[in-house]
Amino acid sequence: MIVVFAILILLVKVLAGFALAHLIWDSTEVKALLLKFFLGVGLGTGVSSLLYFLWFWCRFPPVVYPYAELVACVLLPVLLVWRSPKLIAKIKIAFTRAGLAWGGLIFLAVALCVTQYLVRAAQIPHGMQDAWGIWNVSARFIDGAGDRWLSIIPQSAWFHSDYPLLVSLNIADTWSLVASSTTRVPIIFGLVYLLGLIGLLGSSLAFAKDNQQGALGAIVFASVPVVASLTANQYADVQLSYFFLASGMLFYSYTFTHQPRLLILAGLFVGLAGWTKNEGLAFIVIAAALCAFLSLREKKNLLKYFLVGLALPLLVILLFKSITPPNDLFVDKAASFRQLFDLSRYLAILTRSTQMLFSFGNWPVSLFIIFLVYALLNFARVQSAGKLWILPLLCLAQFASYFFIYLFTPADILVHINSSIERLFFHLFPLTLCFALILLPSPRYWMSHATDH
Amino acid sequence: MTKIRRFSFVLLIIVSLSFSVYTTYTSLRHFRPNAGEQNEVSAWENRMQPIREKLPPDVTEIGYLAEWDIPGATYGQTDQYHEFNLTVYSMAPFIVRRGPAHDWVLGNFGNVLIKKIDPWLRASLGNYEIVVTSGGLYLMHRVKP
Repeated sequence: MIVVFAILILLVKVLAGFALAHLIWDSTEVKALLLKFFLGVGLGTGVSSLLYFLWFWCRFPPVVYPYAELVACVLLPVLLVWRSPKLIAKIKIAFTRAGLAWGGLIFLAVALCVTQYLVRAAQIPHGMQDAWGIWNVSARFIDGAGDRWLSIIPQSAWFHSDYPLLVSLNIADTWSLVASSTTRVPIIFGLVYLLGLIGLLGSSLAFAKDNQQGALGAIVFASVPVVASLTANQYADVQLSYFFLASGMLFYSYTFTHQPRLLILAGLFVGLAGWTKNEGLAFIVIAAALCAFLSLREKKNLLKYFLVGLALPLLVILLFKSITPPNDLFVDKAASFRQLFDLSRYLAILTRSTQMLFSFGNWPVSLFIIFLVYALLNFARVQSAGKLWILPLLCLAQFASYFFIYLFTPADILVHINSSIERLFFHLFPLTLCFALILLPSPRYWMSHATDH
Repeated sequence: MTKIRRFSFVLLIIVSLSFSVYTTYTSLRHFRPNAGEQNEVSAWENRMQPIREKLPPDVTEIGYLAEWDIPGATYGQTDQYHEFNLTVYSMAPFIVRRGPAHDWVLGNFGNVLIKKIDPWLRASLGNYEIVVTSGGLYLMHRVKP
């Protein structure tokens, strides 16, 4: 019963997120509606955690918030349908044979991925070490300490109490509503993001390219074992991957739709990336620089839209960081600065990154090589709409920030790399896959051009 | 070449799904039905449960002493740190602080006999009573003179 209730609570948040996405970007195109549904996963849970934090900050009684939010989350989609009754009528699904075949394959890939996830989650219900040592312990303090919780944060009561709280606040919020701090809630929360990430990848490709490429992307992504296993670890990496993908695709979608409201959403998602993990803070700087560059290039003040979206998450991040203990990466800045000139560190990072490039994904044969062969076979000059370079630029800039952290880290560099590099690759994997599949021709292209070659 | 290109996406789907089937099969084969209850974290929580139940409702912080605090004891630093984090997680929202500077102190002394370290404990805590013992863990309470 708790499982059903938790699923319903999170589903209501997703629908509220969809309604919010539709309020900001009111496109009624079916592909845009599907994309907004999957954006609703991050928007619903993300905004929920921001408001919950502010609720604590304002010292309102914490027991009230989850119920008040639940009512608001139910009302928001109801109001949306009431205001736009034709919205649902727009969603028409044509059942063609090809469509059914693609749908069946997506279902199979997702079912296999979810099975892998649930099997692993059942083996490690508390998640791996950092899950219970950082994210879930933080959720227990929020849920159990009530109005004392904010005053506990500066005291380093748990490991890395400076880590952002999107995941922990959502888990605590759901625990409050189901009246039990069961390990099933973080597992369901991970599942929602797992499905959300697969759906976001597929719907983004369908929106930016076509339905077949969206289906292909979703099938390939769901079939990579590391997707299910890292999600089951409960390390907040699946959430960060989701927000990177959402932000990148919203920036890119702006460049071919020219709807500035997409940049409001982009700002929100970029901010939520920073509210998910500290790695997202570098992404805020990178995305803001990209938006400033686009503003200059297009001679329009696009930054104002981006900042409107970024404002709420940024405010919450700043409030949170004003009370957290300092991050342990910056304990000895002088020693870390000297490490920037140590060539052996560069070599270690490059060597391990190259190895990870070939082993990433945990397929029996290298995912990178298989995809490279596929790309070489498929390469054709296909015009892509908009400024596709945005996606690799975001990936490379974010990877550069990771490179810098490895150079800077006071921890043993090999221990630090070995414990994190797979997860760092995973952060950028969906966005990279999306870029590659937008660049490459879709199955539809070869079907329609087969006779011309 | 055109045919290969035309059906390369089919090959990619077949390869992807085959690997996924293989991974799912492997994970199901290695599935341990009792792992949910018998994993290290759940086991640690079960040991902590009697201790949590004995703490009075007005207590928010407790002290923590372990092998790494005992003079001359041998221990693995990583294990000690790991067990401390397990304790922090299992006891939340009680704050667990290393050291004896609290009225309530949790002792995690592994294989060390508590009788052997009693003089050291009395030097650190003063007079104390053991309120509850659970799987080698001790909840100790300072007794006011």
